[in-house]
Amino acid sequence: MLLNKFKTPVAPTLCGESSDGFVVRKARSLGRSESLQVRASASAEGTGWLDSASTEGRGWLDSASTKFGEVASFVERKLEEVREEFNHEVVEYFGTAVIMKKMQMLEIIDRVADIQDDTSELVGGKRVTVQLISTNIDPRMKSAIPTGCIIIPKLESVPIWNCTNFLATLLSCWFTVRNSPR
Amino acid sequence: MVEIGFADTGKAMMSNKEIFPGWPALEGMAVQNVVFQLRFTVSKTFGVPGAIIVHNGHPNEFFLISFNLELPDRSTAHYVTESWVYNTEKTDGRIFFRNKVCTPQSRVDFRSQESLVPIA
Repeated sequence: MLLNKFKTPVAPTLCGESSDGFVVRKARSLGRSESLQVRASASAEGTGWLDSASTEGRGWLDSASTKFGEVASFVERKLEEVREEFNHEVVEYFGTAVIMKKMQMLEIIDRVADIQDDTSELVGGKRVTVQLISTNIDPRMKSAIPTGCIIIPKLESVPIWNCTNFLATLLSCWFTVRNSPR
Repeated sequence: MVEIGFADTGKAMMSNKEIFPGWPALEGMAVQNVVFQLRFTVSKTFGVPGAIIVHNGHPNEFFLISFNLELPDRSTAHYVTESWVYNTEKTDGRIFFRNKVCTPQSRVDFRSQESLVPIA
């Protein structure tokens, strides 16, 4: 992976992470030659860090050439240098990473814990249990209860304004769970 | 992946970055361990990597349970992980070191002596 500054006469639109495999960090002004920080791949195989659709793995480079001629040529030259370096004596390491990805279930568990904490605070430190029941989580559940079930001991002692706040908090958390990115 | 500077120059050598393949396609409600196979190509002068750098560009954290590296001599290098890796866009990434004891030459005799002490 290369991370360098390049000079280009073209002031491009700010590019994000794209399938072209390059990222432009800065584009200060239009129509002037400015330093751009470009990230591009220079792996031994010549493939992009975002896998290109091209069979040769050079599709992103061609795309970059269209927009940033100077940049593309620099990246290409660096690619050749890297290949020459690796042509001498290389060694390969095979790594195995085991990862537990935080999936939707964990996010919901986190959110339920937050709801419990907030609710417990609202009802004066009483122990509160929140259950979220959905057929999406447990397919064995036949009846769909889309929102949830809140169990608060001695609900009659909870002031009305606290109940309103609690419901607003719960509603807010529920929408957050629904709309949170994974 | 990086080799921390034990070389003459004292500078760390960095390998190419490898991306966990198929990460966005990992969907599901339940938590499960996912195994990724990565291949690093480095020059022979690189040596055995002393540490790895892990970047997380995803907004959510993930738990790196373990990372092992199969060396050319078929031995395995283990790296001490077991840690949550949060988004690292504003940092330089998390560094996990190899769990190999590095004994300075001046203390090799003490280590040998210690290993000779009979267990009571």
